[in-house]
Amino acid sequence: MSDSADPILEMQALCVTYDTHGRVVHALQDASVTVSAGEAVGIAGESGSGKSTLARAALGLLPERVGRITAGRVSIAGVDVTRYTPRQWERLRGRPLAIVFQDPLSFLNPVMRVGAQIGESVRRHDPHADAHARCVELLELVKLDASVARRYPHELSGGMRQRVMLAIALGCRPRLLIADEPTTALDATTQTEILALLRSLRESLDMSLLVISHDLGLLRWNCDRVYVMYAGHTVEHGRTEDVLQRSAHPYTRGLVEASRMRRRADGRFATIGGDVPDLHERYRCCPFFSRCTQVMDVCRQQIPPARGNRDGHGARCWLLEDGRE
Amino acid sequence: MARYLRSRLLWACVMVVGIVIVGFLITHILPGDPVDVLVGDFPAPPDYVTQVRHEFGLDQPLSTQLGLYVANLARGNLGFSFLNRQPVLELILQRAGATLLLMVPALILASVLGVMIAVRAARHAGRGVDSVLTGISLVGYSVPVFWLAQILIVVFAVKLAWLPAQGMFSIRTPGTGLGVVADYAKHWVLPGACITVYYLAVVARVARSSMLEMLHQDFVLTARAKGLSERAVLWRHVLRNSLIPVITVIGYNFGYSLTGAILTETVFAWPGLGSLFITSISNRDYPVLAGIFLLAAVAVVIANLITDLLYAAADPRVRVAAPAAA
Amino acid sequence: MRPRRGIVQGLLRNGAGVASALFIVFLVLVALFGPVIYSGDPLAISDSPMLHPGGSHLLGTDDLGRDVLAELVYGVRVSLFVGCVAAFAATVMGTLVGAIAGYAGGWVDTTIMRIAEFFQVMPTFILAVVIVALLGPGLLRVVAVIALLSWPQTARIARGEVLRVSQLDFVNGVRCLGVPEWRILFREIMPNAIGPVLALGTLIVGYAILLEASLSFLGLSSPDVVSWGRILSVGQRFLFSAWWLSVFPGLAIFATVLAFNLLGDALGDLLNPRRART
Repeated sequence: MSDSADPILEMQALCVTYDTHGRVVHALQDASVTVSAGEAVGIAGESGSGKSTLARAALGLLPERVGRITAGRVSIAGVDVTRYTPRQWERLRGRPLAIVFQDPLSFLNPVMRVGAQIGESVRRHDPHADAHARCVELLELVKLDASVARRYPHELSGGMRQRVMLAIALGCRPRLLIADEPTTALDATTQTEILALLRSLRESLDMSLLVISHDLGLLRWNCDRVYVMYAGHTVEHGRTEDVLQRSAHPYTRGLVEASRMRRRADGRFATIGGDVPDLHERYRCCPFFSRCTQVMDVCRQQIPPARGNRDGHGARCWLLEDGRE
Repeated sequence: MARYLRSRLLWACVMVVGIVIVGFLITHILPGDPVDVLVGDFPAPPDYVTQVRHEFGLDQPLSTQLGLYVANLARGNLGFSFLNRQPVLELILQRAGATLLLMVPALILASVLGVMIAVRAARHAGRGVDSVLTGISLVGYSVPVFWLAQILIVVFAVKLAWLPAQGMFSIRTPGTGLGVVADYAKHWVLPGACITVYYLAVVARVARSSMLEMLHQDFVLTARAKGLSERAVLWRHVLRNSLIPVITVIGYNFGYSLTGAILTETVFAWPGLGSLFITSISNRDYPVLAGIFLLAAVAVVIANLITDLLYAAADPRVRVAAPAAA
Repeated sequence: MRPRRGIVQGLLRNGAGVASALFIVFLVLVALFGPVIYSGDPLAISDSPMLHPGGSHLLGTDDLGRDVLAELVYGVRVSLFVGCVAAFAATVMGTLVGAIAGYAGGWVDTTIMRIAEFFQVMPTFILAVVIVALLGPGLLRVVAVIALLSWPQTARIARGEVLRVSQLDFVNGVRCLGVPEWRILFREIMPNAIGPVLALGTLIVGYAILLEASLSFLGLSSPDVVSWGRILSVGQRFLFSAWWLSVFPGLAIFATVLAFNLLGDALGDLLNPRRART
């Protein structure tokens, strides 16, 4: 899917660390993600894989003084924003990229009416528009009644709050919408509704989408391409069906197996053995080696190089060196 | 909201009743002849003593006594101060003005400065500015106010002779107009400073920790993600939320202002309720002591009620269900 | 549960916390061993009155000829006694009551917290003065009044913490094991709730010391008790002539209260369960 215009978001070999009181956590190690115009991209991974950190790094929202980009590059529409100061970020955020978080009750200001919060977004990015009218427009867009504007966040249901968050993000008129676990805090019915909403918005607003989730099913139905993350690394990427059905990386395979919830021959569910990765060290080898069923000596010693095919399906695994696709 | 306020109002009334009972117990249950408490140690004419005994029914069962006590209170009869030759209620009302003139400006100043200091400190949390400001508020919180008063007097009133050391007005005060105000202001500076220092520290501590907590809340992330400027994030999102607990503290401060005034008024001979309280002790003018106790406690109840109102106005979540404890 | 080693390490990182803790240890030592060094009755007249600091009387003598330094040393015991006992009593009472309120919930909770509010509404200082004025001076009385009117603060914090901890999943886990409710409260919940309570308790010590000093400043302490506040009240009369009667005892009170407040703040930061969110 090549495009002559710059990708809206490009992260190359990004390394992010969190430093609290001397204890350093390497949240992202050599992560690379690209989203171009009109695409719907997904990021899959368990908790601790670095997916949320990636989303925050994309908007310069890493915690002050604690989170830092130590290596790599982030570009938004061709502009290198890796070293942006908070001031520069203030001016940039919203228009090219907007983000929607999960568990919206804590993500909305509890003492401000919902309409005011949406209005804030509008006024910031559309100073000449009639904020009130646009707010109503946005509420309709996310299928909420205009009367919701006068309510406070705690008076709304989870699904409604998530829609409000969407409205706030859309008020920025973003080219790319990042959705960090958009349905995790919701019940199954509401999940489907929100996803349908996202899909229709994408089409009607010609907006790119970056969906972050641990739910592979969600990603399968909504994304053209997908990245798989483990221990802060992007271990596999490609078209969704390539990655999920013809997985190249053992971790992806394990994830897919586990998500199917089918029993194995011995009657047990498929799982990935071992413990969650320790992020206090920078990995000089494959991060998955301790849990991989096909681990080889070289896996423990060196970082596997990135290998890919012409369809854009790639992974970082020593198994691929043997000539396997 | 109305239901919440009604339940608070009801409870406030119950508490006032409780305070009255405590006041009654103090004067009647404690060892010694209750008459002394009601009349005071000051020599009183014997017919008055008999009259008091009769009025308060001291020869009757406790429950009747309580009834009579309450009835007297309702009539505004808090006893008579022989030392001051006035009914206690009148005396208290007279002196209350001076205390208000001392405390209210001090509390307002302390609240405003306290919040300003807290905002500064919270924004630069963990760094030099924060340590200095937090240190200042810690000192203000730990200094014995009567010692501070002494130091201020020695430095400013004696050594430098810039400001008066005692009283609210000079002996030769201009009768009316700007001159009076200036005279009052000059006298206010030192005692006002003492009071402000302490309450500033209290407000700053609460405001700072509240702000620090708010700065790490998720909704701040959302606000930033919208592309809002740091100023907008601070004022519209962080402050609006962090000031809510500060309202409670400021309300408490106003409520307890009578207590806070006592020591300062004594050292500076400020003619308010605080110094009245102290002189009444040394003169064993018990009716006045009991009256001031009642007033102080009721003031707290009223202040708490108003604070609850303001809190409910500020935080919409509270209006939905009455919390078990505000 | 945070291991004890972590607490000590954390405190050590906080320089002010260390300094204040050391100072308090120093005070305790003075309280215990001071009288050994300064044997004899501090209230006995040792020399001429109103001597300037220096010579055999490092900090001078007061209006009756008593050595100020000796009075300061003996005064440590009074301050520490009042502060620690009052704070301890208030903390114990408040924690028990608050924990029960938070754990039981419902009308028990509401009733208890209403009662707590009533006690908190009473002006502590005024009531202390009134009691002392009517019944006569006495350290235990003062301690009792402070404890009685300060436990609501502790109860509020304890209740909040218990409410917070009982929502955590591990409590349900333990409950499923069949552990009886009261044991859950005391063995599982309380140890995790105790942090902010301890911090507040330390602050109450400072408050109690200030209150006792204020009472003796007003002349409401027993004449056979050596209290820093009492020296200050003398100092008030001789403000311009005998500066040492104001400076030294005031400094002593200030330093002691400051140390406890600093320690309380350090403990509060350290034991705050919401600390260090990355």
